[in-house]
Amino acid sequence: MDQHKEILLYTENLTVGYYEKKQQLPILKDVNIAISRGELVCLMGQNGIGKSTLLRTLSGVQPPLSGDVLIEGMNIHDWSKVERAKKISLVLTERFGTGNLSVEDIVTMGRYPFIGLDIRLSLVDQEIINQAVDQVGIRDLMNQKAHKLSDGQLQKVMIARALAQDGDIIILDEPTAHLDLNNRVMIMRLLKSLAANTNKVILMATHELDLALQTADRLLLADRDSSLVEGIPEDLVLNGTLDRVFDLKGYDLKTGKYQHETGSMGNVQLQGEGYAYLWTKNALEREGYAIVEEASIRVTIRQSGENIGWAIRNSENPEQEVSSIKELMIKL
Amino acid sequence: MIQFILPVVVLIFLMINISLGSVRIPLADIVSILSGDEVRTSWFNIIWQFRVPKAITALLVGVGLSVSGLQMQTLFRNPLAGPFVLGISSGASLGVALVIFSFSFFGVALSQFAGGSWLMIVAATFGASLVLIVVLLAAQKVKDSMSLLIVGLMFGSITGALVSVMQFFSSDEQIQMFLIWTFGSLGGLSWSELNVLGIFVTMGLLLNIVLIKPLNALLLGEQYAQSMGINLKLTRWMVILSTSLLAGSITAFCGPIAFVGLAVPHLARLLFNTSNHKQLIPTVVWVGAIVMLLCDIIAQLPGSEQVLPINAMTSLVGAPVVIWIIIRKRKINNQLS
Repeated sequence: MDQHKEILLYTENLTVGYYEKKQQLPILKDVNIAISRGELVCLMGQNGIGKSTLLRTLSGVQPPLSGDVLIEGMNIHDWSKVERAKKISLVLTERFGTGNLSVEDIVTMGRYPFIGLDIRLSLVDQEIINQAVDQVGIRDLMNQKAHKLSDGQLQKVMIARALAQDGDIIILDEPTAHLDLNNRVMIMRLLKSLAANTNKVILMATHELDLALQTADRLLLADRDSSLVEGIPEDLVLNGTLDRVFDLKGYDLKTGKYQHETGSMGNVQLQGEGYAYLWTKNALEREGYAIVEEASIRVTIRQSGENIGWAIRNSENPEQEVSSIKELMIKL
Repeated sequence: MIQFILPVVVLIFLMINISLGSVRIPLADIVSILSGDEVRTSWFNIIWQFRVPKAITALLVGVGLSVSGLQMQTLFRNPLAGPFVLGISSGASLGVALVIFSFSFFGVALSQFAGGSWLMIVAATFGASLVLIVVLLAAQKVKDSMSLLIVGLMFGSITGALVSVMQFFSSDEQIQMFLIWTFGSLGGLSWSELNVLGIFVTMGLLLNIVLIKPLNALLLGEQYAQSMGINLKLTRWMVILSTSLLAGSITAFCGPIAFVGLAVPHLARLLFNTSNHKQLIPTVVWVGAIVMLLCDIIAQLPGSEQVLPINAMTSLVGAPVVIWIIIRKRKINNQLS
């Protein structure tokens, strides 16, 4: 996809890992990826498979075991530390000790590669900071102390800091790890719109399978055989790569639901329609009933306006009416 | 606003400090003596040969130790770090002990040796940097600051034990000389020695101009600092150099002075409600000067002939301050880590 777009970051036969007693310990081998401007790419894989190591290598902090990382066609280790910082900015998982710093102090740090030792900002620096603050929407937090922020707010601040660094590439290592669902969605949306609007490369490691599937332009999957598979999310779902990589147990990616071991409690014939039918089915399946065409237990959903009733009938008992799914479960 | 008040407070404390002593000199006369007017020769000598050097020493010691403590706390990301806690002062003690005790082998008394003060300062600075380098090497291996602190304390014990062994084989005279040094003293520095101390402290302080940016970045952690183009290795070495110059030279001349380096950075952070080193370093400089001058004023026990050892004074003042801060604010950790 986006063949016409300019490729910014790519790797050539990159192998990442560690040295232990002068022995190479490769974690991911022969990584060949190319990421273009404006792409939001999610790096996924099981814990301990080497996502962070790959990100560290891509950001130039850790040397590769072999192969090259190239930015705009130039080897990352040929850039000086400061020049590299002008290209790549970082957002990490852990809630670091923010110290007694204001949000403004932290966002300002994004300009550190560009400014002198007296950390005096030029008008241009100030303008870039303002832009970053507005893009992330944290103008109202600027005078707050960082240790008073919620996890979600702090992560936004760190993203604003990364934006203020104004590199073409932002690398994020599980930026949503400690956040609640609302904040996760918010951060993912933010990153998606940033990638599209700022034309930067945004590369993030994440465990948020559902969110990644919905927002990422492309997925990089760290497989268990130390290889890296890439593709657009939908392809990876349909060809089963995701199932294999994550060794998913009972989670049906194609429907986005958990599969329960249905039938262990018996079969139920369910009649009804709409949401009431869907959620009754959900509850029954969770409890281990299989929904079938014909069964001795029959549940009929009766709807009249706002009121919903469930009628249960089986071979032994006459019909019983209940008014909630909870009661229905007890009766069954 | 408060940035203008602090220098004024320093000046006031400086004046109080100079006006105190066993000989009563009226304040008006002190002012005229300070402006170069020889009111009475004995008073002139007391002021210019004793009190002014002592006050300037207090100033340099307060500023130097406090800035060194601030660097340590940020570098180690630990609110308990300071030149004293991490064994750096112990390193300096070891250097000084080596000089004092080994002089017996050459049959010369240190006080008679012309280069004595230089030798002490070089030994103390060398000892301080040696311990700091070892602690930093340990810091590469152990990532959590608690373990590191324990390592620092262990080094303190080791150097302390080595000093004890040396004391065991030394003469009473030498032991007494070393013991007096450990009490800490701001007085007794000649102008030429003060010059030496001044040069070392100034060099150590000047290094901080280039450390503001890296130290700020380090507040976000090493990985973030690196991602912002900060050279970690260079920063560590700059801090080692600066702290060795500051803590090393001060400890050599004035003995191991406790608590100032630990307490003042916390005071400054709370006073200004910031961890940004651009504001924090100047504040720590002023507050350090004020605290040390105050300790020296109290140590002189105004109205009496006695003078308490300064090392006891800084602990007596410093420890309650730290306890008070922790109880009042409860979240000393928030300020830093």
